Amino acid sequence: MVKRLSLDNISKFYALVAAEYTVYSPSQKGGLVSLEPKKYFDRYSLFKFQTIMPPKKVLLENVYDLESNPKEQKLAFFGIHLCDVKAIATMDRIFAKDPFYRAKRDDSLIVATGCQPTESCFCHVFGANKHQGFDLFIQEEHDGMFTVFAKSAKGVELLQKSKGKILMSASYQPIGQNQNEIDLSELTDAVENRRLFEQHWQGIANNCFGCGACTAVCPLCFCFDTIDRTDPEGGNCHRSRTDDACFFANFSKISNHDFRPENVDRLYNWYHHKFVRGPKENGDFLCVGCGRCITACPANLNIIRILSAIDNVFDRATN
Amino acid sequence: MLNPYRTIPVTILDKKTLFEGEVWLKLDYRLDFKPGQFIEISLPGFGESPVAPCSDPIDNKFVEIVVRDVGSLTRAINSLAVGDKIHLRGPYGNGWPLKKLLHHDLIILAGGTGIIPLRPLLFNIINNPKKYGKIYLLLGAKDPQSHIFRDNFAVWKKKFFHFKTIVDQAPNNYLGLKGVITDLLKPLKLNPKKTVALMCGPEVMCPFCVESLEQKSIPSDRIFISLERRMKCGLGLCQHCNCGKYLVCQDGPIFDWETIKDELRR
Ligand code: SF4
Ligand code: SF4
Ligand code: FES
Repeated sequence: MVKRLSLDNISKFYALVAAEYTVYSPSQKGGLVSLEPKKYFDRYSLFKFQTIMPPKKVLLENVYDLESNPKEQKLAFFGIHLCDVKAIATMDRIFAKDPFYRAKRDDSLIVATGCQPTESCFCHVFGANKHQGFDLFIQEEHDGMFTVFAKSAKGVELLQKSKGKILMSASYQPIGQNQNEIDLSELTDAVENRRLFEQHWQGIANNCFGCGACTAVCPLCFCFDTIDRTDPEGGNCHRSRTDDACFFANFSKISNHDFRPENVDRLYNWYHHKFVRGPKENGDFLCVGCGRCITACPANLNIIRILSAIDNVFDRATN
Repeated sequence: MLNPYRTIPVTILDKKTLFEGEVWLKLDYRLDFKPGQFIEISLPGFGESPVAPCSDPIDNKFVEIVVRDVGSLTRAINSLAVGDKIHLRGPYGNGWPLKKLLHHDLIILAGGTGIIPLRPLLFNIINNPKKYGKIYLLLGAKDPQSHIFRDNFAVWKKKFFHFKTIVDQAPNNYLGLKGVITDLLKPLKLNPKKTVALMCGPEVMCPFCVESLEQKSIPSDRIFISLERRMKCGLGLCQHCNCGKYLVCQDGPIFDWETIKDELRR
């Protein structure tokens, strides 16, 4: 189902969604735009630029008591972009057996929208610019009206309730893209071949602070730690799940041995997980090219340049 | 949906100090597990830690574990008494490749506490002598006290074709052998056509054993190793346990050498 809505009706449509769901939508907060629970539509709800944090921040929120029964929730993501939608589809496969993820995700609604590329994104490289994976898609037209596409049963049900003219046909505008390119054809082989690139990895690691900022903002970084916490009152103890980062020292340390003692080992492992292990385990790279890790990195490390350089060296070495 | 993080409280039925810092516990729990698999044990407030059950998998009325005093959790567990409860969940991982071992001679190499995940297999072998060929069991340890399960030595000596132990250091009056485990391995005559090797111990020990096995023409896809990593969740999610492109909690902890050798240094 496709409908044409005015801005006023989009705002009412938002209210319709909010009547049924807890809606997370881009919101202005302290000068930044982040995904926040918000009851009413405002001018940030269809923000064209990226939110600081991806939806995983909500879906993989820290769990207070891992041994409790997760509460099923009805969450909606309103105004997220296609790269984040694709990342959710990959997360769905990884966390299929995790009851806390499922409790948030199973009844959730995705209302995606178009975006404007920044200088650091490269979603087209991973096909993360395709119109798929959402329940609804809101497209702003040149005349200030909005085309709303409903792609799932719950999307159609909601859209039926909204005011607006039904369209017999409509087409998606292609998502804008920039010049950033990475050749994926040999990427997995190149990353897998650590020894060939030891100098390259070492050079990057020398500049990396190991702060883990890139992992915090990445929609496809999901490693976690568990920590036992005691309630200040009552003395009850809970096993909690918290974010972790594979960049942190001790991430893979056991009592008598550290399997990744150097920063270069940990940095390499991040790339290896995303571009070697990801395709092997999940059938897809653990990157959608959102560019958040580039924006977040205090050392100005740039995944596009890092991967392109490897590709180039690999080409020279193998041809 | 089942919550895979939920643990089960189980009562400690018996407890014995094997030697300083290593405690054997018998737990009142029926655990259906395969030799070589692991479980997560925990105490509220002290977190979780992976350990391999060391008991006979057939006698599954009880499960036995050995807890090494290495962190705050294991220290807390070691201070518990019979009748107290600890928590567990599992089992996880693949276990030793039992089908591939059938009707083969087995050379089993364990360094220190590496004997723990092998002991359930030894029970299996003793219970099913017709299923296996000759059994060579070699145990290495730091010093004579570090040989845990010394109570079992007499049985192993009787039941297995070849059983030898060796220690790194020992007092002058020690009657056993001094040296490293490869000293026991080198002189053995093995039939490369029908031998499978199984090992568990400090990771530094393994390449030396492999070298020596390969000199005996045992192919690397018939050498199996049990890996120790930081298995935090056991469910393939937390990412703490990977070894190169494998998740040790899912694809392991047992790997054949051919598969894992290039991943160990990644
Ligand atoms: S690795 Fe960087 S560009 Fe790729 S999805 Fe993660 S944050 Fe975005
Ligand atoms: S954000 Fe940059 S400096 Fe921090 S861990 Fe990631 S790559 Fe290293
Ligand atoms: S132990 Fe968590 S992924 Fe293997």
